[in-house]
Amino acid sequence: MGQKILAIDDETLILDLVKIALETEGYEVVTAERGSVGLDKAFAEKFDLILLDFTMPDISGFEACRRLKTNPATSNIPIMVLTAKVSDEDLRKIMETGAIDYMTKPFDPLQLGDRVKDILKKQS
Amino acid sequence: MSGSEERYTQIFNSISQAVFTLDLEGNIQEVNDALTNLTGYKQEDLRGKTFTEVVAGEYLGLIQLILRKTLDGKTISKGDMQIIKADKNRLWAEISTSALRDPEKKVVGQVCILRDISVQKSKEEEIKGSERFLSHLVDNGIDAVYVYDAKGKIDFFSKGGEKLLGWRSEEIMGQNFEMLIAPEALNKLKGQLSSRRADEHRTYQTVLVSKGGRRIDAVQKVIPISREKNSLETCSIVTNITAQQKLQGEITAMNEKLNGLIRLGKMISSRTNLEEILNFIVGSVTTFARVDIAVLRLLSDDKKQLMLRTCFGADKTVVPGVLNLEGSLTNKALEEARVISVGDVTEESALSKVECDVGQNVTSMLAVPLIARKEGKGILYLYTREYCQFTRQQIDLAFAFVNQAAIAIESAMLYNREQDTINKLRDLDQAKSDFLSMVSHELRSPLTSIKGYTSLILGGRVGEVNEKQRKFLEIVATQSNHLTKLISDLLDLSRIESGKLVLKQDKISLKGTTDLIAERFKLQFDAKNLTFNMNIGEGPLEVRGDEERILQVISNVMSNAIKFTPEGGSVSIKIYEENNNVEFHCTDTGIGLKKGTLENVFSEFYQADSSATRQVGGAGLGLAIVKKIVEAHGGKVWAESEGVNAGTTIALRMPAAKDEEKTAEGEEKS
Repeated sequence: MGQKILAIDDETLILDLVKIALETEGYEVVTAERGSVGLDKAFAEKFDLILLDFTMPDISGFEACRRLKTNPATSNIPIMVLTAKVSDEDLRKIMETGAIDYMTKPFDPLQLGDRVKDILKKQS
Repeated sequence: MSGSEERYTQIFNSISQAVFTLDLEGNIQEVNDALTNLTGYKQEDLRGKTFTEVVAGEYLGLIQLILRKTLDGKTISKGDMQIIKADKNRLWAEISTSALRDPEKKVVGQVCILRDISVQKSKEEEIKGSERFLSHLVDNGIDAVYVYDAKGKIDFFSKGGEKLLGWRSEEIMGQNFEMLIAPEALNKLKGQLSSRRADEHRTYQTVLVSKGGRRIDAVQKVIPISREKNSLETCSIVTNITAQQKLQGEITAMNEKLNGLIRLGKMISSRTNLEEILNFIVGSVTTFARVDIAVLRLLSDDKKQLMLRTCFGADKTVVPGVLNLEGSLTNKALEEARVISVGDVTEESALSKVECDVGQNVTSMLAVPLIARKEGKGILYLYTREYCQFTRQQIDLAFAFVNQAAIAIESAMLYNREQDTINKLRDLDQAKSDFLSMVSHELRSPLTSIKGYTSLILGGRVGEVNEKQRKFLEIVATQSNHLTKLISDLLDLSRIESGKLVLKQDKISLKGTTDLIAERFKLQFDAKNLTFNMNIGEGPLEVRGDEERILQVISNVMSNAIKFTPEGGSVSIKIYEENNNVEFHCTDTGIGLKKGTLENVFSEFYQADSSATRQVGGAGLGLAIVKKIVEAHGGKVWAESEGVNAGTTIALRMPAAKDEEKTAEGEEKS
């Protein structure tokens, strides 16, 4: 379908995982290993979806999410959160940031594609 | 007898006074009728007798004196004496004598007149008697009596007054009675007296002052008195009530002290700030013990110094902060756990300078040791500016307060330790939480890669996979799933254990939950061809708790049943209410449990039979989590089994939800 997805995660292995999983489903995937780098890219290019790891060292997931949502250029882009946290409390907090969906790690990359598809369908 | 002699005899016998004559030797010559009437003697009996024979013995000296005096011819002597009458009774008589002369003017004897003064004498005795009585009263029964005239001038001051007030009667007479009243009490008394009518009997309480300036609390009864005809004076009868006042004062003071101590006790037990308590103590002890300054010093950690903690009546910035124990007198107080009293600090050479330095001049000092748990922990110093001999009461009072101080300090210390422990536990908890978070993340990331890449390969995204590769990779996938579940459960268990469980109090239907879980496990039931039954009792069958967690419980129990039941078996659920509890029983026809190992099934990682459990992929933490959650909800879990291969029942019982409970959040105690 040619839609562009931005994946931000501090672990390269997971970035590659995501890239392979989504590229084999026909998406264009741009990766960023650091929150700051990811945000720069988000503001510079036009993406259809952003995959955001919540547990990153330099910028916290909350902060990144906030910045994306408050910037008019990126506020409409759906954000899906990848997180290792599973407690209700934490998930609730995450969803309050404005993310549209989440997947807990470890996740099945094959299912990732389906979820991404659902989200993009809803957007259009 | 000649005519004139007869005449004189007539006159003599007509005189109403008793008259008789004596010769120079004192013998009775002539007596008149009045005399014989008075004395009862016959003339013949008296004539020739010595007069002294009829005079009572005590007056012999007097009569002889009187008779001698008249013999010189010039004087008339008088005297009171007692005569012995013919009936042997005594008669009070006044005798007056004068010289009897012959025609040549030579003294030849005496003429004596005897006047009966018996009535007068008895009256005199009466008066003397009552005077003696009153005098006795005045001197002994009352503390003081004084009488003053309309102008306030004292004209009577009793012996008691002299004793009480130190003034001699002579010094006081003629002075204004106001000088006996203490100046500070005078105005009030004058005001009270001014509203008293002159004839009223009134009682007033006032303060008198002695010659030396000593104050005497007294009650005065003020009454009108008339000692002489036509004179109206005021009499004040004084009772010294200093002793009562003192007692009253002591009782009041004691009450105040008791109240002070009670209040202090309350402060301590209500955990009032230690600073406030110690300040209250030094303030109270100063007031109640009637001293000027109180200084509290506590032993330093190295036990070599006494550090200033708080003081009252002195400037804290001026009092030395540190007192070295070595070379100090109060070291003894600490070591021997006794009180040290110094009358004059300037004269006590054993005292170090610091010990009596409070920024002002003091004379007396009392050092009271503060003992806690048989150890000296500090000293309370009490100082007075004027010389003071510390009384038993003062020392006892100081001890009472010092003991409270010891209790307060110990209490505060324990409380602080408690707080420290609580803080440490909190920190520990936080550290654990952080650790869990980190572990969670660290373990999940690699697992994501393992699962992820395996999944990609198995999904054919990076090329074809042959049969063998597929089989091997599926093993990797299953095991990494298992690992994931294990990590999840481990973190769960840890979180539940450390009390991070937020216990909601929602009403949860066990039936509803079971239906839900049964739905979820449908595939698994079918995969092993297991039959599923539900036996539901009457009633709402609701419990109060956290829905998420209850779901977890039922899910874990059912999953366990499914895991350990071979193909073709069955899983039956029974839910019912009994004795205000809801019971949930899950019975399977599986591998059962060995007798005696029924509790163990709820332990972490328990393996009843290695071979069996290995086959199903490990025991895991499922039931351990179930136990923790159910117990956190106030319930109980247990296992039942007839033996190996006889199936197992996992049962749980929880209090039924009552309608009146409100939603609450609580932290589980770890």
